[in-house]
Amino acid sequence: MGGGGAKALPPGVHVTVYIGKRVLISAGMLILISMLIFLLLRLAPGNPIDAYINPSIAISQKQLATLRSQLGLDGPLTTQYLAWLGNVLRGNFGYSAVDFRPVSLLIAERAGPTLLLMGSGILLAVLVGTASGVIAAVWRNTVLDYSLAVLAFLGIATPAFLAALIGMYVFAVRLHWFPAGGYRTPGQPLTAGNVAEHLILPAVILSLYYTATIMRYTRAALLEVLNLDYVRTARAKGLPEWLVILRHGLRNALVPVVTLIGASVGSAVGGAIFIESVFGWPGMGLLFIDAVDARNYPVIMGISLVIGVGVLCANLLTDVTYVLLDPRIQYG
Amino acid sequence: MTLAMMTPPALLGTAAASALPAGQVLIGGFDVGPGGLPGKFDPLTATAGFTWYNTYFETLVLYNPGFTHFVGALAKNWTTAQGGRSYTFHLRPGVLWQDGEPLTAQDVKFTLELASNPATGSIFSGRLSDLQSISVVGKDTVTVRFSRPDVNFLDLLTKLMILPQHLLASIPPSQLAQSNWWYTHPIGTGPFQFVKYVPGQYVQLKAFPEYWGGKPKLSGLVNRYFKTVASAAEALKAGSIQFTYVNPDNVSTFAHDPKFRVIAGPSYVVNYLGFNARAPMFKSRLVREAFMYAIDRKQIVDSLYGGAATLADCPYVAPALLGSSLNSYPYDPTKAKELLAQAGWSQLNGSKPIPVLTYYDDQLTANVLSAMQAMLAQVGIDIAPRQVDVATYNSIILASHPDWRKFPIVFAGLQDGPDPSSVAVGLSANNFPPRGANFLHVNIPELTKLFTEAGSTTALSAQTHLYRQVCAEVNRQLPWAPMWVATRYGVVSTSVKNFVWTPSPGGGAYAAMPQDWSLSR
Amino acid sequence: MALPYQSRSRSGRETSHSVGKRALRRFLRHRAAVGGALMFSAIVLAVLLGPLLLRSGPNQIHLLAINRPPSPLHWLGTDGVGRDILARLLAGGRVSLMVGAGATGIALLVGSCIGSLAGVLGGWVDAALMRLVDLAMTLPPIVLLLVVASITGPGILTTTLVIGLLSWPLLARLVRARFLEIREQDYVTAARGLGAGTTRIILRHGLPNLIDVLVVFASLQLANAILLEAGLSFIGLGIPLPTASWGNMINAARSVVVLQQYPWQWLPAGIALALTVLCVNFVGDGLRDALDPRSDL
Repeated sequence: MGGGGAKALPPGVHVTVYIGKRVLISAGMLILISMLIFLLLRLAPGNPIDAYINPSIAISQKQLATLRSQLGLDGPLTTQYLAWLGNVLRGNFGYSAVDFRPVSLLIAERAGPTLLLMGSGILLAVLVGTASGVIAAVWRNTVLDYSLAVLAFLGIATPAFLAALIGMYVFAVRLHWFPAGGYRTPGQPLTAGNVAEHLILPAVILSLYYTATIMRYTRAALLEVLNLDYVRTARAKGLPEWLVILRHGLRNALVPVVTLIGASVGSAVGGAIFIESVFGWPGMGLLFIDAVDARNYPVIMGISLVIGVGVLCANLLTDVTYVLLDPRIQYG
Repeated sequence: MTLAMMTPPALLGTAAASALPAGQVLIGGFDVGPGGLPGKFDPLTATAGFTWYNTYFETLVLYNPGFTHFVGALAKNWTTAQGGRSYTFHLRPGVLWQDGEPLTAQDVKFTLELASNPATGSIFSGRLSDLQSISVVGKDTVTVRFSRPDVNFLDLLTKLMILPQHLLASIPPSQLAQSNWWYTHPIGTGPFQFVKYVPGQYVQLKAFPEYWGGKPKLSGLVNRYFKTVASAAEALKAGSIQFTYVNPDNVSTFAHDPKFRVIAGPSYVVNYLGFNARAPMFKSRLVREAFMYAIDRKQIVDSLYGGAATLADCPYVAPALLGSSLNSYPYDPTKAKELLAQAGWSQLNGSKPIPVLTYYDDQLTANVLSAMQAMLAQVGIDIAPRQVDVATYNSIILASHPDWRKFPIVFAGLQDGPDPSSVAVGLSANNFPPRGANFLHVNIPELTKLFTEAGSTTALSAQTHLYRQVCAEVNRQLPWAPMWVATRYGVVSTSVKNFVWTPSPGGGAYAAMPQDWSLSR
Repeated sequence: MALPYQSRSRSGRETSHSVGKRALRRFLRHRAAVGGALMFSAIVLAVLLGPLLLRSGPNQIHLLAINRPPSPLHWLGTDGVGRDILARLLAGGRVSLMVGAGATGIALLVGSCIGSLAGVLGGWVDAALMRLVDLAMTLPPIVLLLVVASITGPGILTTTLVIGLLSWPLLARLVRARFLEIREQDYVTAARGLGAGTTRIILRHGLPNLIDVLVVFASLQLANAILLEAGLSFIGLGIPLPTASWGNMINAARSVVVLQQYPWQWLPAGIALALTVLCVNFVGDGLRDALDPRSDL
């Protein structure tokens, strides 16, 4: 791909054509991904029956056979996979191997809480992270910059479960500022205020890691851009530093930050396992880890597909955003 | 705009909720810990969670809370005949299903038929394979006959929830487990009736005023779900719930707080280091004895468990079941070394690391295994503990062609009560997989004979005598190195009155009398 | 075509000496970087030599002295089986730094290679490699880990490899994005016009422009890898008992009682980890400034 060949998006080719192509490829990717996960699950030790039986209770061979057929575990692998794929294409994602509820319903129930928690957590992180990243870059190598660095790396070195347990102990048990976990107060009507009360603590704790990460990348990318010639020129013209940064720096510095956010958003669809576990937040992460513990194949497959769609969409959006941020970027 | 329009009714909602008789709804973590099974609603296929099922369903009989004898629940009384081959139950009069229909003996027959039908996925079907006939006499008498004596039938009945025939007969047995009836509008005869299941969050019940045992004192009951015991304990401390199971290390944070009452009891699960009978290095009893002398069990219980465990010299710790002249294998590393030398350990295995497989993934077990590892290293045995999840564990030990090299030793637990026959699952040669769960292939003819004999003896004293012999035999032959029976704990707020809870395997199965529970301000 | 390439290369080597000197001077001016380098060397030294100087070994249990607070005998107290926390902190540092550095190295190598190739070559290579990245980002790690654990069992080498191979996709996307930005810039187009090969473009024009991303990624990934290691022991991977690592020392705080009543058991490892990644980041920042030819202007 020499210099001229790079113009793969000639003036006539609209960005929608590029998106259309990517969407088509993504559909194929999803099938490939589902095949891979299906295979991996069967390679993983233990199946839904292993996870369910209690060695203290004898189970007869006949019962095992019944369980296997109830769970669709009999027959060759290819048949099992094709049956699953056929059902999915007809809109049926199968039934949970534990309580036999439809997988689509299980996922739909968790979608709201997950989007709420991950959305607010990441939004908060993007705002605070980019702002503090800009501050750290502008006042680079000052006490302020160093303090922000120390805070960020303390945040990075604190695993999610620890932050969640400490947060719960301090703000729920000791100070009584927030309820100790859950999504709503049981037995009371579902209100926005009640959910918000439960949301704040886990969302803030979730945002810590993302804030720290976004801050470090923003700072680094901004410093990189601030050394470029045209920014130097702008500065030499006597423009105030903040104006230089906003007008010339930030826009280009955003490329890595957007990449990072894109990657986070994609996987965020899967929820935050540790924070949801500690706070009992009924999100996708909790559903997923329970499903893995139970080797609940249909649920794992369903959630993996949702995560797949999330990652593919987020990466596509990221690639499109690059062009908007820096019109020189082109795809072949 | 939208938000503004939503707010007034939302506020009204909160006001209405607080206008309810506050403090009359008990919120608990009833499915927290090893006795719980959150998100499972079909009691026929459930292996735990009976504490909660017992609040809206009921069984024929239950244990008393001390697990010393059976008491009637839906059965007013019962008789046993023909040496355990025939049981007759007389139902309590005037029992209503929560939809107003009367309970009849037909419901009991219907439930037993479902439970013995493998198509339902029932966990009882294996144990009920000798069921011969169920006959109904009049409205309130049922007689159950077996082709061979079944002396453990009453124990099974403490976990079998009686189901309404008039609501479930139309569902084919093979589709029963998949039915949404269980989590949308199940109907039982218990003191509380189902209101709703909020997936992944909680189950809500309300009082059933026509309950045969009297109108419940509480207006409702909520079972809140927690993924970790730690978060449930924090929620209890914060006042969000009034009861939960807690881990032993949490107890100290509640013990001296007047706002809480700590409930302790035996887990009825014996922990052991199980030797794979197919592993050549453990063929010699001297080697197995050396393990017992090399591990300072008393020090582990005193320090790591903080005393909250009872040393087990055989599968049982209940005083009635202890055999005579048991060897307590006091800590004696010198003797362990001698025994190993005598057995030729350096030829048998030497310093090669021996994997110890376990499904316990908590910090306490990691500490216990580290301690054992250090103690065994002193006598020249190198163990390599490996913690895996339950599904992985079962897939290794119950594989169709198990490889003993993957589990020459397991660190595991086995239910040893309240019915002492439970341990036969892992110790009788009649229970080799796939028939049973004797996955270590323990094959000691004396033990197998004792379990078979006990299984056809109805007289309690004769049974007890046989289980004492089981205890003595295990203590002598050491198919496993028995370790201890840990104590388990629950914590309840002192604002809850008449609350009955006790640790038990799978939870429940005892008369908890939820209709008498109440809350004081 | 071969000639200009060679001559430029030689001229590059001639100047490299003075460039190196200038870079060192710039690095030494960066106070945080020098501090970070000193502190990091101290940590590495302590971790390597410390265990030789201590009386108690890291795996030596003492059931009569469990959960003891710091004292003259045990400077940082003891853990749940009476092992000396200081000894475990130092021994654990070896393991954690090894796993962290190894895994981060693998992720850096794989991620920047794939990202650069995709970014420089573009076209179908870019499309294919990026779909590979999509795939790697989508597969649920826990399922993958269960499979690996059942095949290999625990061990430092496997753990390092697995963590490294799980963490490269983000870097690949970051590196590719940076190449997309600079690909059309004049000096790169010019270099390509002069017939410079892909490898040369990546090394000569790519790397200097990537240092900022690589530094941040490396310092964050080091912490991630060290923490991730501890999470793996619960599914039969990770570092086997009783070996200490910073990750499994921090993990002890999963028990609420350890978290609230025995902070000396997890806090030192947490602080050591934070300090280490902070140092790595400062050193990286200093390197970036030192190697950036424009920062002198």
